[in-house]
Amino acid sequence: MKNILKYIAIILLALSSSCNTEYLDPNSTLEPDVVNSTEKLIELINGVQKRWSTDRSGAIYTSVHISGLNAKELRLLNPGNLGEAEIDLGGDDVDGGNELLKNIWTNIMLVRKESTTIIDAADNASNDAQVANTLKAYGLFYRALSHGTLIQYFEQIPLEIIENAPFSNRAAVLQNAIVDLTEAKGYIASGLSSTVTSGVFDSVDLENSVNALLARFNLMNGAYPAAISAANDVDLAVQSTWAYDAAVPNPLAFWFGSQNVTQAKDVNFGLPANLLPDSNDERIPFYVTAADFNVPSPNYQVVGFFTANLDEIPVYLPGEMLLIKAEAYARGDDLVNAVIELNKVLTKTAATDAFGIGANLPAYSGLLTKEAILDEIYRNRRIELYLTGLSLEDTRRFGRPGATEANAERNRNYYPYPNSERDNNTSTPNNPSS
Amino acid sequence: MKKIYFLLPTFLMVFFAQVVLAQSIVVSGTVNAPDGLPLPGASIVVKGTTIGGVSDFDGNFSISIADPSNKTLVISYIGYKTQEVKLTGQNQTVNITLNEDANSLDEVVIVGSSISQSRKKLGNAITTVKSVELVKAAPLNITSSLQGKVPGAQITQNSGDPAGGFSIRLRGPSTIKGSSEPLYVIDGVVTSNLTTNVTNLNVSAGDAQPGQNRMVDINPNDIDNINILNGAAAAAIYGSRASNGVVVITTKKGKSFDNGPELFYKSTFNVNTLRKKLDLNLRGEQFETVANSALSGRLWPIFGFDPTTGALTTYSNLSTNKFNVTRYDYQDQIFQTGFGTDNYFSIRDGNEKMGYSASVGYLSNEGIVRNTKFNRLSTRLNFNHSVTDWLSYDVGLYFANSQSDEKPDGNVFWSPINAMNITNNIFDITQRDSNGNLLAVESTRVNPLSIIETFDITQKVNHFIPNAHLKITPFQNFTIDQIIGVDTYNQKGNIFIPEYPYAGVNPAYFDKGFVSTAEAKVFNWNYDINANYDIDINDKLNSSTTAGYSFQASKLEFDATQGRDLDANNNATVDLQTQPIDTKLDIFGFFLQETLSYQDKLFLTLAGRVDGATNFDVDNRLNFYPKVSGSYVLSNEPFWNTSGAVNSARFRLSYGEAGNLTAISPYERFGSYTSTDFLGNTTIAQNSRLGNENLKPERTKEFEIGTDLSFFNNRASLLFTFYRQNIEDLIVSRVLAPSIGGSSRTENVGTMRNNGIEFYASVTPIKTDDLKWDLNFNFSSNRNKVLSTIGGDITIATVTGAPPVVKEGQPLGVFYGTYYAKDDAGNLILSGPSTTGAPVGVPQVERGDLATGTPQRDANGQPTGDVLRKVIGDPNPDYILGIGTDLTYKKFNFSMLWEAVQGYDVFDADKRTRQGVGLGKLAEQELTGELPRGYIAGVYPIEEFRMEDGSFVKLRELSIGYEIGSLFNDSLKNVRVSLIGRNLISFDNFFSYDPETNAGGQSNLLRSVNFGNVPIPSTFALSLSTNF
Repeated sequence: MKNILKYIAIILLALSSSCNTEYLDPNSTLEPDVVNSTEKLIELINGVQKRWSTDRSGAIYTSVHISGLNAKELRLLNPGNLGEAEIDLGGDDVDGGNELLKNIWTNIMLVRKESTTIIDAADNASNDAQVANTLKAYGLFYRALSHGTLIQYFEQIPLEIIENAPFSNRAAVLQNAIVDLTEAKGYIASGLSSTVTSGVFDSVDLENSVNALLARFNLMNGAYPAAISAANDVDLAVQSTWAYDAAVPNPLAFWFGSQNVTQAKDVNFGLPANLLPDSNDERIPFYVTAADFNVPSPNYQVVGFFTANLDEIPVYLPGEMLLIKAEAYARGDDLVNAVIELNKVLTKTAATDAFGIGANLPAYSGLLTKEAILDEIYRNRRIELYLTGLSLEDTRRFGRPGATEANAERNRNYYPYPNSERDNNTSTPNNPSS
Repeated sequence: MKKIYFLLPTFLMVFFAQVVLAQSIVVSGTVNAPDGLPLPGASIVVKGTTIGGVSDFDGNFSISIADPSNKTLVISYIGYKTQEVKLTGQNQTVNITLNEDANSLDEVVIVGSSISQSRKKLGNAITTVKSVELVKAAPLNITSSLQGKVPGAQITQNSGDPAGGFSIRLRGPSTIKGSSEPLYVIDGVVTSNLTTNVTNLNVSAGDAQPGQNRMVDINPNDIDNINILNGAAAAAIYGSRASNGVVVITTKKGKSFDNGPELFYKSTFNVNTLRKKLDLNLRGEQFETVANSALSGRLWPIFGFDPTTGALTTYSNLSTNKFNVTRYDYQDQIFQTGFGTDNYFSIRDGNEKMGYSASVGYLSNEGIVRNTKFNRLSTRLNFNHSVTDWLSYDVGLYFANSQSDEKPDGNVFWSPINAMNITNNIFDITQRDSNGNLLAVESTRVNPLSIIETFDITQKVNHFIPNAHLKITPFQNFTIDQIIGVDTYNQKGNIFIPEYPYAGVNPAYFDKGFVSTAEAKVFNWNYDINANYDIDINDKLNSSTTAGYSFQASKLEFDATQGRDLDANNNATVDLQTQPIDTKLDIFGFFLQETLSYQDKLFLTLAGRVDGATNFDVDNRLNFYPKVSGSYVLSNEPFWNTSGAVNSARFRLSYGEAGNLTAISPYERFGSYTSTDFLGNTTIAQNSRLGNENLKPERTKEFEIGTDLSFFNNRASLLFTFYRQNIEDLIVSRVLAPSIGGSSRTENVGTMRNNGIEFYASVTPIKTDDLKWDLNFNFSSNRNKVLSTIGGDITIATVTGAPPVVKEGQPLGVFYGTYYAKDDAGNLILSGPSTTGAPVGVPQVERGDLATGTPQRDANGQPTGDVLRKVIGDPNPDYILGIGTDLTYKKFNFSMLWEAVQGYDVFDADKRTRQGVGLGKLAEQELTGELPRGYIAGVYPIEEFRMEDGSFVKLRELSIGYEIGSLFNDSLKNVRVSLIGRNLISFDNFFSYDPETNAGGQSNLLRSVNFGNVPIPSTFALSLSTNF
């Protein structure tokens, strides 16, 4: 009998070794394996591009839909898409529980976190300073893109990644993005490492995109000479795009193609009656079509960069750089240069634009007043930059009638903060009134 | 697996241990019931050993005993009081009459993998359901056979698919993150009831877990009895694996039969029909959505158009001009009468030392949705052998092969029922072009017949469950039990959705086709060893000490290939990615339990367990869980008059703690990065769920008190239990402020409570030689409340539009949404005149101050301010009542089982869908003018509109049987024929098909949502069984 008890004791001891067993998931990677490896950080940069540009919850889909439904670029096809329906109705119908707001906030915050991981890990991951700085340049680009995009939808956002992070106002956020981009620009100037660039998807042209964002955010921040200078640094012949593959499609093309969520609202590009597009504007058929324009309510369809699953979406448009310069000159009261830049957009033809966008219209012949020129710039921004996600920012910056004003051209000025942030961050400010 | 090698020496050594030679004797006799009838199958065992046998058809038995000195014979039979007889040591004949015991206080019930105890010693309520009760209504699976029969159990059939999943909740939900399903143990093998979906790859269903669960593979005809241990405290033996309760299933074993082997054959023919057909809008007209045009405007109940531009406007400018259409009822094309057969053959035999039981069963059953079917071939072999008076073993093998033909079940708009719900019924879906291809219906939608005719979705499962027990009694009163069991299955699923032969289908519905092949491989094994020492310390005091160890390892591998956009050969041209799964989990525990019995009336049990699992960090995984329980059999006191009105009475009390080791997945505590392919390269992304290595197991503390009473010489009985369950360190997927760089983190931040009562009553009002009438009632009521979480409401991910949340102070998974504006008297405030073209005189959403949640009114008394939300529904029932009755008159038997599940709400997503597209009943009422034009547009955005009272009373089982007896010169014996009905009648006020439904499948969080689910069929069956 003793023997039996002895064997039992042995078995129990052997089995109790599982008390210390550690199983790890073969299908995922743990943090230390990522932050200490240049190769993994490159995969993470590519993952950041994917997170930003793909999927219905990604920043491209959400930013284009929130601004597009708000500023009348898009119409809703089925109110069963509740998040889109609330954004479409605007005003009080949008609250912190809105799905699109939650998605844009969460996904951009995750992009910001991953970018920061890359920036912070770069020096440790590689002993080669050039490799580290190249990793950082990508991280800084995406972090600036995150901050500068999100601040177009919310009055304030947090800049730090900590518990109960304090919120910063628009000027501080834009300044932070500009500092990041300036640092990135410095790394690019001293040469990027091919170890990194060869592994990163090449659809995004980093140097031109950094300059384009510098131009965009400086303009938004009222730093007009800096905006002009940065826009001048952009090579307008270069295409910088978000690319897609068959399995991970262009999210706008895919969902427009569903004919069940949203489509082009009309051929007015959200412009008021006194600023309607010139009917000869060749950008209209570039962006919007219909099988039959003569029926009572034509079934307008988005075309442009959004017809096929593999269509690439521009990171920025060359026309935006020209319009940034025109606006910066106009706001700086240099009306002559403003008109020169504006005319480059008006007279541009499909053949002379890197993406084939050309208004092919006569040069500006309106009043040479600041208001008139800015109105024309606004009209051209809304057409040229259709569905780039900039329309809400534009209606505000050009002082168009806001959500609570007569003849409103947008249904919200800013959005309430998502409940997930409000419920878990004590620093969350009050929601905007409209 | 290395660990198994250590077991081998133990198995070997018992064969070579000392062999005791002694004078052997033969004891024979008869076991009878009080009415003098023989009791076949009674168990006769020498106390403290494994040696024994069973009585034959005539109640006779005969056993030989090697060492007869100082031995006691224990004679027991389910439902009767156990008796003990002291042996003389010589050959002897004993005739025993066992007394009935309705409360079965002396009945021995299995409470552990190899441990059984008499009921009177237990401090907890245990429900036993015996074979005859289980298979009375010819159920197709185990879970449905328990519906309505177990106090404290809410058993829901989540889908009416032929292999549709079931959920069991014993005493309410016990966790948030994990599963509230009980542990299933079949003959000592911890058997997986996992839902691994291999035919749902192209559906993002959020927290939903639709599909089959694996109990569907078990043939109910093999089962001898099922014991249900409701509470955590009951489960000292199973420990933390059993924090949701345990379902202990024992299959039929071989024994000695007088006239050779018992051959049994049963054949059942099933007819499955749709219990309730929906009333749809069949009125041949609809409102225009394009001015003065009969153009097929979509969504006419909710879309108007701008009078000047003609642009569509949502919920406003609704036109009152109608035009004529032709309407169809698509239900006729989707549903069918499904037929099925269930054939079962078993053979059992043995002698006093050995026994075998072998069976084979084949089930083939069609669903009520056309082209759906479930086939199951199963075979079981049990062998038991008492080698000597100190050694016995038994071996069981079970194999099942199941195959299903399926259609997408809910959660998508391309399931048969949802395709109907979301298509305006003005298309003749049977029309075909010259090539015989079906034609398009409403733009973006799928012709429901395309799904029925051309989707090919199948799954195949091979399930193997072997087990081996070894019981040794090294010396008197000391036994060691060992069990090793394996539960392994391989599940393969294929989806083929061809390209639609028509244009305009939403690409999100895979318009150009989809194929996938997926495989899940599960390998689980468990080893349990328990040693028991039972000794009478003196005349009055008995001590029973048990020590045990259990180990369970689970491994799941899942991988798949999938793609869309098929070429001419039906191969995918666009490969889609699948995230493979490869998880391993070990669960282990030690326990020590001491039961003291004083004068067969006072019982005290103390137990402690240490449990651990590898999904928790090494520093947090081992925890101690105590248990204490007491039982007082008042009727065993000398002063008790056992022939009085209350002939037996017992009080019980228990307190126990258990951990929940499976609330988190095996790797959940780690924060990690996941890789996916994009643009031909590997990319990685940080999981939005952040890691938390400080997680510890949830702890369930359960207190219960109860009583068991028998009346009028056991003609009536009553069981009552009250329990309170506090779940502490509740694991919650805590929502984070996204600015921290993640959206959730799993944390021990919650507490939850279940309070409840359980009643069971049975009475036999009439009992004569010819007529017997039994009635039984079971009632349970559970109140669940989430006492605390942190970080605000936890939104439950669902694609159905339902708004379930985990909310502090509310039951788990309540629906929290927008609601109707009402005045102080509770009447709807209808909308007033509008400048925006919004409909007038229709219900509207409540508005007010978001901060305080109070409604506000403008100068006209209309709601104003932000849209408000409140709890609009609760998926947890107030109470469940089962009422069963059995009437036997001579050779006729009639039985009926009703189940009432009352006071719960269902989110009926389909209700709104049908109205919005125009085929619903309310849409028809808007056409006839019974409802104002714009009514649907008014209620459409209000979530409360979709809340429906789910309360139902169902006739679960109905059976009429006749005992034909012997046929063909006794070549057939015990011939019985029954006519059976299942789910024939339901009394409910549910708007759609059936309130007993769940698009969330077996999900713990997402309960009571109707979204294109297949309703539960009504089944008629004819069953014939015979011995030969």
